[in-house]
Amino acid sequence: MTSIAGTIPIVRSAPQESLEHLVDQGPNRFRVHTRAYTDRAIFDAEMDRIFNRTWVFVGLESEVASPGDYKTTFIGLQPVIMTRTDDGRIHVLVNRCVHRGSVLAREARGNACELQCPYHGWLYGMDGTLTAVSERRDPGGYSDAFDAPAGLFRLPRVESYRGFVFASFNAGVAPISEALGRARVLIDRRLDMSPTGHIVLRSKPYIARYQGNWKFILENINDAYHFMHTHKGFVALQARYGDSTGDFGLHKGGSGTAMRAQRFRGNTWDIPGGHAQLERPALDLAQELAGPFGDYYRQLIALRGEEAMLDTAGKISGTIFPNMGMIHQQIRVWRPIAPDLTEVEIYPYELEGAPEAFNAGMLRSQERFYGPSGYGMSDDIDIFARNQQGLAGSAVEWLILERGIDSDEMGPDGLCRGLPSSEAPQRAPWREWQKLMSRA
Amino acid sequence: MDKPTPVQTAQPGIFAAEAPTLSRQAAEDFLIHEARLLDDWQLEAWNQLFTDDGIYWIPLDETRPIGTSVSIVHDTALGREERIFHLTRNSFPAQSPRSRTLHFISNVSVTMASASSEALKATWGVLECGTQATGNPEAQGADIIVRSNQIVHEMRAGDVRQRGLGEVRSIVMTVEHVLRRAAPGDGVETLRIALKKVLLINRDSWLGNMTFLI
Ligand code: FES
Ligand SMILES: [Fe+2]
Repeated sequence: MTSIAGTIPIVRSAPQESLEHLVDQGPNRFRVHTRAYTDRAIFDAEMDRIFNRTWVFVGLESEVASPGDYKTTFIGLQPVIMTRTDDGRIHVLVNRCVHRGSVLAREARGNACELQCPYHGWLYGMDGTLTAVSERRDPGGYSDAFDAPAGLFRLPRVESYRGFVFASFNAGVAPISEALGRARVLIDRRLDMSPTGHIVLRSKPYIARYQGNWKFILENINDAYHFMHTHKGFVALQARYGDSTGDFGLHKGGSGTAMRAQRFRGNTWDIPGGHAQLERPALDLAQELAGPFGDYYRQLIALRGEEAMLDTAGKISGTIFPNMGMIHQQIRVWRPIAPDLTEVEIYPYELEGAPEAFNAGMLRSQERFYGPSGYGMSDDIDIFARNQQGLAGSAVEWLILERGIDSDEMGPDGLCRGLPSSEAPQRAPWREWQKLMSRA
Repeated sequence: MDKPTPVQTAQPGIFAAEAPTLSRQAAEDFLIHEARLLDDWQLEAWNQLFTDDGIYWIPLDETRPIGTSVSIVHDTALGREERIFHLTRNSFPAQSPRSRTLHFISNVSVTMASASSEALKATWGVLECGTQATGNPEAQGADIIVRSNQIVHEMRAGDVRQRGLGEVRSIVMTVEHVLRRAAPGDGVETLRIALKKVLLINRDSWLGNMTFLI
């Protein structure tokens, strides 16, 4: 009997040698080789050594709130289903019939009491167990000698942190809470903006694709350096329209100078495990208390204390290696499709218990900046295609990620803090990448 | 969100139940005129086609109240002003080089809908405008609903050999215009858009660069 919880899948075509030389690290030196973004063999090795071995974010517990609920997604290139069974447990299963390969679920989400393969009718429970082989005893069927599989490939590790579900093909990964380390701060602060500590997903997500490598978005979310350049047009727009059209305090400071001053404050973080953060000082709490949502902020202060509230209400964006990030009031998830093609989902969420107008304002603000017709992220996405095009200029071998490297403060635990516009958050994923890619 | 003020220019009575509906020919003339303004980047002139409280809306999920859902575009008058300012005065990567568009319009139909029409009430409800936005309450008449299927072909020029440029993309959509009269008369020139609702056939799929007007 084949075990239902499978072992680490192997991508056969992936190169077997160490690829650590593609990141060149040394004192005052941090460069990444072009091939790490362009080469198909290296991409295959990434699927093998990163997506098949680390924790990967798959969704929120609330997306499969009731028994029988399921949601489909991907881990690297592999289609998976997240399900909830009657006992309340969450499972992550490879969305592939173990008979001859059909996907089992094609709706993005749904509720079912069993999963039946449409091809020849094999039947599985929501935990992946094979419950029936159709026409098993019919002439030409299966005899007692049949080595029937136990069921769908079930990922050996599924754990959540504050409702965020991560899964791994690797039974040996550290517990999620430990693997996240300081990355927990990102989830904590964002969720603690809700008086109940919970978020609610009601809006459909934006889904975008760009013609560039998946690491571009991983590097971009925490990139304070690009803002005044890539988003120069937005900065000009903001100077004229400010909050009047629904920015909702996302980009403080009407003038370019004020926005620049705002951008270059706070800390950057390079966190063991490849996670990264960009953290800016707390908002002007006095101003918020006097504003239309004063009661909401007072409630948060009463719940969390003023000091914690100053941290919580500060701006924080971050990435959790390898496939998710949080910024504004959204969860962002991306999946690699090919070395030069990536899909991004943006899930705007609402804060449970926050005023309706606050949540609605945040939605309008996301439309304005992050939507496909918005004034921000569409520029980043356009730049990613430019990047991929530029990398075809292979006469230049290395990309330079050294900004702020000599002012970074490395702690004894490997946690590294940089100045606000340091490329420390861009180096973070590459440190982990190098570690993982060094072994076949 | 602020409730839009009812359109000021409509005259009482002109929407009487017996008012003639707009002919399909006239509706097509209007749509062709609008499309030409967009394709020629006459964006200020396009904006003039809207009523003061007019909305340009491209939903992601047209059934969910906007208070709990993001849209692709949800532009009131100020939103359109900002969008047009950005497109015409600012330089930004997603429109460098710019998009060229060509609209193709078909399957045009015209219906009249009174303020109490269920479909219209539902639409205004989702937009959280209330039903008072369906024109002058004294008129008690009908809004003119023009539905069409449209395909917009879009491409970005420049060095068309480069990634992301030179591809002709098709944007396939159903468009619902809620039109009102800005003045008495039955000419196309007095029609104003109270709502332009664009349902992309692929609104729940992945979308590329949509930083131009459709
Ligand atoms: S492939 Fe699923 S039953 Fe045959
Ligand atoms: Fe950006």
